[in-house]
Amino acid sequence: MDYQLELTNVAKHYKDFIAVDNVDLQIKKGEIISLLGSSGCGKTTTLRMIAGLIEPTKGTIRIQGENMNGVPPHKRDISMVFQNYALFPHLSVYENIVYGLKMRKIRDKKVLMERAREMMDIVQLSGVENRLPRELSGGQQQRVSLARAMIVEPKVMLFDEPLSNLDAKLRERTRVEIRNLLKRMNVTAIYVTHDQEEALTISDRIAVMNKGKIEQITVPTELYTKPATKFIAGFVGHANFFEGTVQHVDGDRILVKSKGRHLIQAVVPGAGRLSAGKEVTLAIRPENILAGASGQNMPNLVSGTVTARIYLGSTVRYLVDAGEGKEIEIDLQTKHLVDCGEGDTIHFSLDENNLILVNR
Amino acid sequence: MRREKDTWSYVNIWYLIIPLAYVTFLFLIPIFKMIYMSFFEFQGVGKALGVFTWHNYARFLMDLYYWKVLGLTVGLSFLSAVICAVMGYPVAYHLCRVNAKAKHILTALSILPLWVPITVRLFGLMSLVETGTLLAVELGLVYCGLPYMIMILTGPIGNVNRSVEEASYVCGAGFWTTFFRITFPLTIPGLVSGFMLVFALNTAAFVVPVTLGNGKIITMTTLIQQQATYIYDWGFAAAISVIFLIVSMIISNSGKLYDLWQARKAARSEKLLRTAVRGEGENL
Ligand SMILES: Nc1ncnc2c1ncn2[C@@H]1O[C@H](COP(=O)(O)OP(=O)(O)OP(=O)(O)O)[C@@H](O)[C@H]1O
Ligand SMILES: [Mg+2]
Repeated sequence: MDYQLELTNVAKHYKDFIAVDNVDLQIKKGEIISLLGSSGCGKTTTLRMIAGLIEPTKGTIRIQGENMNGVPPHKRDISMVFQNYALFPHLSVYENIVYGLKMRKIRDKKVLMERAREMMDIVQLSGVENRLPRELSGGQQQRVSLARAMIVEPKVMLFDEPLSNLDAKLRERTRVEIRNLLKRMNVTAIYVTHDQEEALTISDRIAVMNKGKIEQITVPTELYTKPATKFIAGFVGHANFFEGTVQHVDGDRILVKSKGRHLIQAVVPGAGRLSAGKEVTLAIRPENILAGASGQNMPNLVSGTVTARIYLGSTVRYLVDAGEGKEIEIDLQTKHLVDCGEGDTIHFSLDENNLILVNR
Repeated sequence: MRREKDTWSYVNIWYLIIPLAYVTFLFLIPIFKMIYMSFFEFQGVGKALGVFTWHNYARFLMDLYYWKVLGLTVGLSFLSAVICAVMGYPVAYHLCRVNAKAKHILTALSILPLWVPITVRLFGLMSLVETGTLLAVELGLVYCGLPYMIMILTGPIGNVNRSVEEASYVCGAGFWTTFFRITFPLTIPGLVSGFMLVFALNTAAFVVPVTLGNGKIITMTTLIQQQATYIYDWGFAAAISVIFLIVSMIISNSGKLYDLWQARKAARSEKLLRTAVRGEGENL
């Protein structure tokens, strides 16, 4: 199988600090991959290595099967949206946008103008083509840099948090436009973001990075329902964790005694490889906790004191102190609101089918 | 807000008095005295000035020799500023591209000549070239101007955002294309001011033409000194100084012509583009 972009064991070390650690990534033509991760986890560094702006300490990067080690950026046929825009300050918006085309030897003014206008329509920049970058707002500058990168239809397109400066509405609309355009051009793209919602909506697959490593690569739906590690479960959406020891295994069904001495029964695929006495971590999403249950000493029943009630629109989040310093988040649909406020005791049960077994 | 502004202008006015007094006593008064003197017959040091006359100016303006001296001064300085720009730019560029430690060392090295008194430095140069030639004077001027050019250029070149250059590479431009389309245009204002500084320093150079010109190459500064200290014609010396002053002022401010030209060019291209884009729009 020929990949459009292939990273094999790519690492970047700064002295003894490891910014990117043995990253493996295979991307097919036309695929959009998000790199999701918290600040400083090595996303930009990875992109810059792919762009050729920095050399990897080790490993190989291949574009269309061709080894890119030592190939300068301008010979890689890529384009990039920079985190800080990096617009050419002395060139007008129009000149900025068509710069890449001119470098690709497209001289016909008519063609340049047509493509520029098409691009400016997509990123909603029409009317400012003659301004200098410093005469634009931050969001407009960001859209210029987006247009400048997308207009060239390269082999691989790199986005470094390209929408961080837009307001929520425009961001939502633009990311749909970006996805549509990329799909139409059939361009391979790596899209760096720390906004999980953005990653979930824009990409075909998501790679979650943590401390320089890729922890999991998977399709958006699985990332939320089947996070591989505790970090991912906590990073993508919210999660409550229960650490404990396996008491009993029966097929896919396990019984875990948590550190807070709750008995938790869970149905997890692949539980067969576990045995009694093993330390495990279970995760559960706040919306999979059912409130208002009662009864004693049954598995999965927990009670605690409400410490905060946060209204989120369609749901209400309760922060519950379940004793021994364990704080649990519960999301309830506003329409199923239970009538209890801060200081009240709340009973709830963990849905055994929605408990997830995660690696540390 | 308003109050704050008032406070500041209050502070500034009092603070300004010291430099103002300094400039008045040491700069403006002598200049006015010189201008005044240039319009009168000079009858000797310590004696009263003679009658009002245009003669001092006429003497300069009617004599081709003096015009040649003026031309030589401007020409040598201009050429030297060009050479300094051409030689200084790559040095400044590399100074801005090496790591911080190397930059400190290299900056120190490039301004090292300024630590040595100019006469000492020029004696070194005198032992290398034949004095009294145009080449010797030109070498001296470049030699003196280069450190200043490098110093001035490191500012604007260092200010060019590296990620802007990177963006150009990523857009498909190689090193030289990036240099000529991005880096260089962004540093032109700095280049113009460096050029103007070196040019002004060179026209005003005195030690260089004296030591390296060795009496054979006469520039405006040495001409003035000749008239004032050997021939004792302070009236004529003053007139030459005034003419020199006016010429220098015109030339030093010609840097503004560049700004003006830029502004006009921008306005024109904007108009062109606007009509072009509009025309296109109607076609589609
Ligand atoms: N030139 C450098 N020298 C030393 N360390 C560096 C250098 N460049 C980056 N790093 C370090 O490498 C790590 C990864 O940086 P990187 O810019 O890739 O983070 P990021 O994931 O893009 O974060 P953000 O979301 O904040 O942009 C950071 O901890 C950073 O401090
Ligand atoms: Mg980054």
